[in-house]
Amino acid sequence: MIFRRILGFIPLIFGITFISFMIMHAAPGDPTMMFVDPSVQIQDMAQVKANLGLDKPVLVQYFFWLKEIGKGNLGFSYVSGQPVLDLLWERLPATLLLSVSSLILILCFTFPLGLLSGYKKDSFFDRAVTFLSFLGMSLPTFWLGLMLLLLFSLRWSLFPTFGFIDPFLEDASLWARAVSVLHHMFLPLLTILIGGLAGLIRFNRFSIIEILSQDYIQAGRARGLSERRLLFKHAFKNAALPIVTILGAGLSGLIGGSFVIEYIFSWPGMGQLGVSAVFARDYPVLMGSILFSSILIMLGNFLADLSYSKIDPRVRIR
Amino acid sequence: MLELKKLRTLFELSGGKTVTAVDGVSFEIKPGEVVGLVGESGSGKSVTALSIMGLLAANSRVESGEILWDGRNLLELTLSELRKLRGRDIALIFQNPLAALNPVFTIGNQMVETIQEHFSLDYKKSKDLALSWLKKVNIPDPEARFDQYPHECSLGMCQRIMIAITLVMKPRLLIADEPTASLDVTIQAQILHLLAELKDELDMSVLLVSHDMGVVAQQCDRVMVMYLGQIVEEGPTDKIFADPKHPYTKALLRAIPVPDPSKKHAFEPLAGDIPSPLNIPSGCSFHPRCSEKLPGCESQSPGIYSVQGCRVACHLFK
Ligand SMILES: Nc1ncnc2c1ncn2[C@@H]1O[C@H](COP(=O)(O)OP(=O)(O)O)[C@@H](O)[C@H]1O
Ligand SMILES: [Mg+2]
Repeated sequence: MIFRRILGFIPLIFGITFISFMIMHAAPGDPTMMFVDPSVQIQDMAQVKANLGLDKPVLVQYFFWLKEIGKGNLGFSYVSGQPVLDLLWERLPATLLLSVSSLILILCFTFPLGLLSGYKKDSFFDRAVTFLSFLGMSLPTFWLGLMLLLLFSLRWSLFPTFGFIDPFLEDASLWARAVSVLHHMFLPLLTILIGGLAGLIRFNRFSIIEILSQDYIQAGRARGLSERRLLFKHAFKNAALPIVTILGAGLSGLIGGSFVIEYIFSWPGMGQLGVSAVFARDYPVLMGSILFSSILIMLGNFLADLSYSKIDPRVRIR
Repeated sequence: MLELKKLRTLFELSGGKTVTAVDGVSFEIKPGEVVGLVGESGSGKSVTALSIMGLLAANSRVESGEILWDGRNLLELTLSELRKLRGRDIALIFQNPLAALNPVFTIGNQMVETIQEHFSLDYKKSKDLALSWLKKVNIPDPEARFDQYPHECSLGMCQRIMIAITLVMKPRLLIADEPTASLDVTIQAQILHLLAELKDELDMSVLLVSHDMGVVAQQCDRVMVMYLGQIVEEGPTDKIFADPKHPYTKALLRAIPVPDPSKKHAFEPLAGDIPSPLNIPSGCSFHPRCSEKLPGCESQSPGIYSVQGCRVACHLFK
């Protein structure tokens, strides 16, 4: 069953990569734009394009790319000449670290805040959470990221402006390196959290309000169950269902958003690699990072479906 | 044991309007008694039940009156005092058993948590107690059901399970709000039979809420007839059914379908619609639908008169 689901991803990945390939080639500019040396002749540029296969029709290029993927070859960067696969592998841990920790933190904050503000509807606490959520939802992520960078890193030098870890800590203890990574990760993580949390807390609040009016909550009260048990056991598990769905569906947004954030904070992940590749028209690297992130998104969706069926006994994966 | 004195329960609607759903209801339930509360839907039966349990919705409150349990006014208890009473002393079962069970926890889980909320038993003992009750309510293969989810059981099965979850605490009063209204006729009879059996075994009192005169006639020692938030007639079941006094009771009895054409009265659905609770008729609230209306009925509310062992609120018996 699970195997069937994974097979189902393959056509999707074809679709995504095909469309990205077309858009990439439709966009103005090509890799030879990087050759700014005035002594380079037009014929030479054409020769370079021919060497790279860029003179062929786009469709042919796409099938060529696909054929190489089939052999496990993602090509070589136009810029650095390194194998794309190596570049991506190198970047994967940083991306996973940022997206997995933001996902975990989002869950850790959404539930207590959403549950309590739904339970204490219209209280001071609820109003405060509502106000902050609206604030969070109305701030564009990239603007927020730039502002945080500007204030905390550039003006007050509280946080580093780029990177993943302090390069001088290569031989330091594990603890010192972990602290350094956390220090570097703080602002990007905060930016993702503020953007990602706000809507989810609102949503969780509404589902809690809806769930608390259900018969089974009323029946639990009639049996003398405590409010704490009803809220944190009975309502919690039911409210977790839609959150898992939303997170599954919103995963692409989360990853897409973290591309921009990685770029702003020069976080050495796949997102930053991909965005830089866009500017450099480094097609193989760009296609590689699109391929990797779509696989990540699909795995995420798959995990969301799996946990959904774990939480809700009425749903079974087919 | 339970005594209601002039209970008045209001709903506050948006726009500052209020609806009086229960309007000066007084009655008493003695140990071991089975009392029926009948009336068309919307007459305030469920709101009466929820007022007793202290489970009114947020937009609803008891305006005046007393609910005495062994002489203690339940309206003056704190939530934690009330919680000890709920389930343990006074229990409630609902119309829709499937909705009254949390869909994402197993039946066993919900039974054990209820048992452990009230008794200090370890898991093993609680489970044994739960299984013995599943057996008592005639659930085939209780061990297997214990690990199933509510959606895996039929409605009738769910109602049996609800009865087990509720009666495992041996309450002294069971309020059953339309316990069979959602079930097939044959299952209905089985459930009513089961309730009657368990009532004798546990020596509890039952307040049986129903819109079905037939159900009440079979099960109850005493009947109270409710119309628009007021009790219009009350007395021993045999007297009410043999010789109804209030025109509303008579109309309700005429509205029972009788399959046997040789019976003396024909099936005659209740004339007119139940008035909007926002706009309750003046005087006797039944007068617009009454076939025996007197000149004073439109302006004066009737007193309560004792007639041959029954209490009737009707000008005919002044
Ligand atoms: N949630 C609610 N909001 C407003 N009014 C309500 C609500 N629930 C019940 N009522 C009012 O209380 C009256 C009695 O309802 P209820 O006790 O449920 O009747 P029933 O006798 O069918 O159980 C209804 O006619 C309605 O006017
Ligand atoms: Mg009702």
